[in-house]
Amino acid sequence: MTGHSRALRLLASGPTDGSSGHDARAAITVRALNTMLAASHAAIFATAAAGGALAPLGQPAAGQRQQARDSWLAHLRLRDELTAMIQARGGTPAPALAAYRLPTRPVDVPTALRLLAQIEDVCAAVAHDATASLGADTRAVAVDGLAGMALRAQRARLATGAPPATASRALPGAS
Amino acid sequence: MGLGGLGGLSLVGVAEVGCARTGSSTAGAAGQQLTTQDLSAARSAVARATALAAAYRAAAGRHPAESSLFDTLRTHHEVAVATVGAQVPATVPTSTATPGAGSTAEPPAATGAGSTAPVAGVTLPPGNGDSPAARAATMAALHGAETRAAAAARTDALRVSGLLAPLFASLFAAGNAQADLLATAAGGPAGSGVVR
Repeated sequence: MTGHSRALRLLASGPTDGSSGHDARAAITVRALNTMLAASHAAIFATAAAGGALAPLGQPAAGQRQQARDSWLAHLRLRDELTAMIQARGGTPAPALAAYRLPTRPVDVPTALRLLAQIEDVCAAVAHDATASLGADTRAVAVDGLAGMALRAQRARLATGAPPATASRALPGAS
Repeated sequence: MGLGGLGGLSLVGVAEVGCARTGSSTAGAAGQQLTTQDLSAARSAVARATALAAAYRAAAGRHPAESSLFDTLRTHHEVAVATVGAQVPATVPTSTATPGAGSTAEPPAATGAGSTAPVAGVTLPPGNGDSPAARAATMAALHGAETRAAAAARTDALRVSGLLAPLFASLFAAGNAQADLLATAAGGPAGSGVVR
């Protein structure tokens, strides 16, 4: 755990009564939502790249392309939801970058599926951690987001031919 | 880690913000206190996962062709029990029962006052047959139990303190994905869990 995150957790557990406590809690919430938003921006880029690599392959890769599209659409929806939540709390949504460095270059079906699983795993870890900083009014977006990410990552791994033992995770987002 | 922004954003850094790795430490060790609701939810989670692990063990005995899948899911639930126990030692059961095939896998009693989620045993269909119909019935029973357990974990994920929220969010995600695996293995449509 970094010093920064330790401090963040201490802030998260600090007093919440009074205006300063309320402001600190709001700042923590906006920061956690923005962290998820930054990850979703990257996921939108990565899933579009995966889908773009699969498009020229035509019908044989139609199922995998649909998986990429499902991931892309899910992160678009999450981005919009997070943006609205941040703005509703007076925060400034983190902007998307022009481009992102991808962990896998999608050039065919196996690499596109690997990229899809990787990006969902990264986003799942971010959502997992965000739940610790979000209160009852905002936590559902991270909880439900994590479940969707875990499901899409698992399906991407299964689509590569991985058996359930390696495609599934005991505790998604946690490791 | 690889996925970083050309403009300087690193998802490594992103992932570290608000870091609360599940299982990384005992909850409350930093002076923060678990609530009564935290303890109750943790006990219920252990009871659910223990019952499901026992049910998968029994199911693997009945249907050897599916033992790879069932053993994988049993292991996941055993990891869940161990992880909850590591974070909330008060939930560690003193003994566990191993039901035989054809039995009801009853969880240990959730003793916390005001348990936050329903706890139920996992009842496999009667009989020890390995016919396609019996396999389908077992799959359906396990799918139903996983879906109910995932829903309970989601409810608790929204109620517990921030100390346990990451763990319960992860348990919900795991249960949802495991239900999807069972639905796929049973030949049904994927996405029949809580979250699609």
